Amino acid sequence: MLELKNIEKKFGGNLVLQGISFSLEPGRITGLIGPNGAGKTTLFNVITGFHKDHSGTVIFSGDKITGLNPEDICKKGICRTFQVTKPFANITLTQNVMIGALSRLERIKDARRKAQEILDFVGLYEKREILGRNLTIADRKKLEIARGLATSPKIFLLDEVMAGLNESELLEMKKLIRNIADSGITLLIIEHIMTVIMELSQKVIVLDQGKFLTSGTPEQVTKNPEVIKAYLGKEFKHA
Amino acid sequence: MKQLIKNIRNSSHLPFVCFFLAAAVLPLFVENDFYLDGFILIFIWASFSSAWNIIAGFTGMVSLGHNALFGIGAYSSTILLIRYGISPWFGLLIGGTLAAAVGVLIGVICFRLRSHYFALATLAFGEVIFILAMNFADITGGAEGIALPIEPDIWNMSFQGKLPYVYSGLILLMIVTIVSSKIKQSKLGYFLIAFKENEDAARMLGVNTGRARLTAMAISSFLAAVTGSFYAQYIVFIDPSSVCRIQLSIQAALFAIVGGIGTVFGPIVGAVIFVPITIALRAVLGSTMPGLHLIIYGFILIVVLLYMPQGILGAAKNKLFRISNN
Amino acid sequence: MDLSIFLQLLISGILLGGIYAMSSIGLTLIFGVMKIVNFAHGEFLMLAMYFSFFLHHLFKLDPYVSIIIVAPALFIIGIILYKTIIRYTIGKPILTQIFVTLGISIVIENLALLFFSGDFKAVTLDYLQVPFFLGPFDSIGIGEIIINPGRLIAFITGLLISGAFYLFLKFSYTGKIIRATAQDRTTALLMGINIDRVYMLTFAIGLLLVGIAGCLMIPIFTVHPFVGFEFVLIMFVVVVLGGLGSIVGAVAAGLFIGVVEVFSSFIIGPDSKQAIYFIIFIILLIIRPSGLFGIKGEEELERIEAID
Ligand SMILES: Nc1ncnc2c1ncn2[C@@H]1O[C@H](COP(=O)(O)OP(=O)(O)OP(=O)(O)O)[C@@H](O)[C@H]1O
Ligand SMILES: [Mg+2]
Repeated sequence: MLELKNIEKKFGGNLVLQGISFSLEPGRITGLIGPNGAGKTTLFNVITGFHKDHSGTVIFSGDKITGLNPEDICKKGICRTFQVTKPFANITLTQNVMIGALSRLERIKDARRKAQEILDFVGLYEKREILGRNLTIADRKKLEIARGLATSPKIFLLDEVMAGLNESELLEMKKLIRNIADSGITLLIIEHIMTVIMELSQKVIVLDQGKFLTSGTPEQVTKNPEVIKAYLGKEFKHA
Repeated sequence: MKQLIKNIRNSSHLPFVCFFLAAAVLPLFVENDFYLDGFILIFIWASFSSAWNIIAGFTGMVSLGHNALFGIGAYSSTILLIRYGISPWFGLLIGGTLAAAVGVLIGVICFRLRSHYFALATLAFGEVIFILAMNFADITGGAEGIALPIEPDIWNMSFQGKLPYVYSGLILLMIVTIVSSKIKQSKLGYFLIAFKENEDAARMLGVNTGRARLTAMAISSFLAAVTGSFYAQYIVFIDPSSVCRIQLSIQAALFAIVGGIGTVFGPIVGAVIFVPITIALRAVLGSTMPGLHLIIYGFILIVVLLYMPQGILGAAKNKLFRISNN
Repeated sequence: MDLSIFLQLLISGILLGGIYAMSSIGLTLIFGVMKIVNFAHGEFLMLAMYFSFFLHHLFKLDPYVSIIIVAPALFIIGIILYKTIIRYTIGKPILTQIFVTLGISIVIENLALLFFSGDFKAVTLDYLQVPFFLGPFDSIGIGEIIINPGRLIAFITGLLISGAFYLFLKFSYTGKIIRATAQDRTTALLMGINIDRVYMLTFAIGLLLVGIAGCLMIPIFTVHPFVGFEFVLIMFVVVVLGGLGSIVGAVAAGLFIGVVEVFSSFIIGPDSKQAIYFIIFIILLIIRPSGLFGIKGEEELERIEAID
């Protein structure tokens, strides 16, 4: 469904991604893990068209989407959330989500209805008239998800939507992600919290220092000595 | 009609329905040309400020070159009328279309520039047009300007007395306001807000921010130029410093900012406040204290930006919001 | 074009460019460190010219000597304006920054109109009235080249001051702090640098520099309330061409613009000369917005940071 071939990305002289190739199978939750600075977010930026000066190809449903703009990639059916959330601060949550919905819908009324359904789905319906800037971390993450969902993606990339959440918020978020997957959307999720990845994903891809390290089921990956080394080597607190 | 009733019910529009009703009725009872002139100037400058607001207020791209677009409108209709005998009714459409094309060109060139650079680029563009208007005297009359024919003739958009100008000015302002309000409530309006709030997020949600801004720029430029044409027809004399100078853009910004930048009615509020004050101050202190009103405006601009950045309407809305929430 | 004329134009252009460069340094400094476009910079130049004019007019003070009064006066104005207004625009939306500084410029311009009237004022110094000549160099076929002493003094002093200021930024402790803040505000903050003070100092130094420029310019240019706007447009061109915040760039760009102006007014006439450098400016913004001497991509820095 989504296939990456030999992605390479430099910042200045700094090779941040090298030779990344993998593919996502439809309808699954795939985890993308790796220590800080491994290049996970950069990979999202490459897939969604925010970085253009990279080599390698991204193929989606048989079409090459490398070089397209984020807005065109969104239209094709790939959306993502931002690790550092970017709410539209001075408009209401409904309006925030409507903007996503308008990528598929012509009429404002329809967009508003869809936005409210989605806000209900992610559990923000009560707060729909609040301005984007007045949200807690957890709600900001939910808003990111809601806006993305409003674009009716086939593939949805989630960048650390659980970071900074407390126990109960975490539970809620896990449920939400499962519900999204159940609705048939293919998910690729970046996450540092290993237990969450273990619970949610069917397959895990590990990046380390810009390189593809390994992939497999959560059990295989966590037992892989190289993965343990990559994490313990630097950031054992995440392991 | 249904729309009108709905608008009236929607209380936030009520003051403006009242405004337009008052603006339509009041002039009938005013005999003095001096006051009628005030009405006309309010309508003209409110229209121009609204046009500026469509790009600067809705998208946050600060244009300092709208004076040039106003000038393009004024010169186009005037030159077409004087040289080719083309009625200003068509001239203003031609000027507007030309300005829209120029606006799109500016957009194509400058929209990839960030904030400061966009302001500086549009400023430079405005200056180029100003200098061209000064120096191509064969076409524009240069610094000496061009006088328009004054015999009343509807075909030439030249009327007997002030009242017809009052009403054509009012219609112009209504058109600009309706366009502005339609944009705000449309898909385009949402896209523009999305761009203004966060471009990356907007693009990821499928918003073609480039196209949205170009559309806004085209509309804004068109309306600015049409206002320029109407201004030329009313004042019956144009020269580069009355229709192309940078102060016009700054004035448009002042009205919009004080009234409420990015709101549909903010520019009108600004014009209603400032135009009469300007006329009064000029009449009272004109020759003795030149520029005193500008000193005051400069201070107001600074104070509003620092302490009431959403302007009068923004502040009022926040207050209402708070009251309705309590 | 005759070689003598060419050399004459080149030298005039370079002298003029030195003046442009010097008057733009303060602007580029403020732009580079505080990320604020100071639309009032031309009005500060205008104020300095008026101060110097009145010191000469009332107290017969030589404009070059008046630097020791005018420059500190502008420094203090800078501190006052920073404390009362400018500091509140840091980190605010671009619209706020632009129109607050524009508001300041409108106020100053019209105060000048109110108090000093719209008349053109000039200082004529006897000892600058006699131009001196280079050449003729008959052997290589070059005739006399006229040099305007006032411009030469402004040029040399301007370059010396730019050089001294460059060294100050490069080697002094304060200079290093200013540069550190310009490069990375957050890190500077973490290192315990008092950003607010650095900004205040930067703004005041920017005004001090334009104060010196005003004194050097009053013997050559007439002053009137709207002179600031004329010069600020040129300064913007110079600063953007030189790359925001780059002193060396501003000097190089200033010289370039001076030469362009002199040649284009000779070739196509003085009326269109401004149009020429604005067109250069627009073309430059299109092809290389970070300036001829700036770091490429600088104008898009905001964008790169914006994507996490
Ligand atoms: N805009 C940029 N310019 C220069 N270098 C960058 C830029 N963005 C990221 N990098 C570098 O690329 C590398 C990968 O960064 P990236 O953000 O993709 O990591 P990540 O895996 O998402 O890490 P984290 O878990 O901390 O979010 C890092 O070394 C980072 O410093
Ligand atoms: Mg990341």
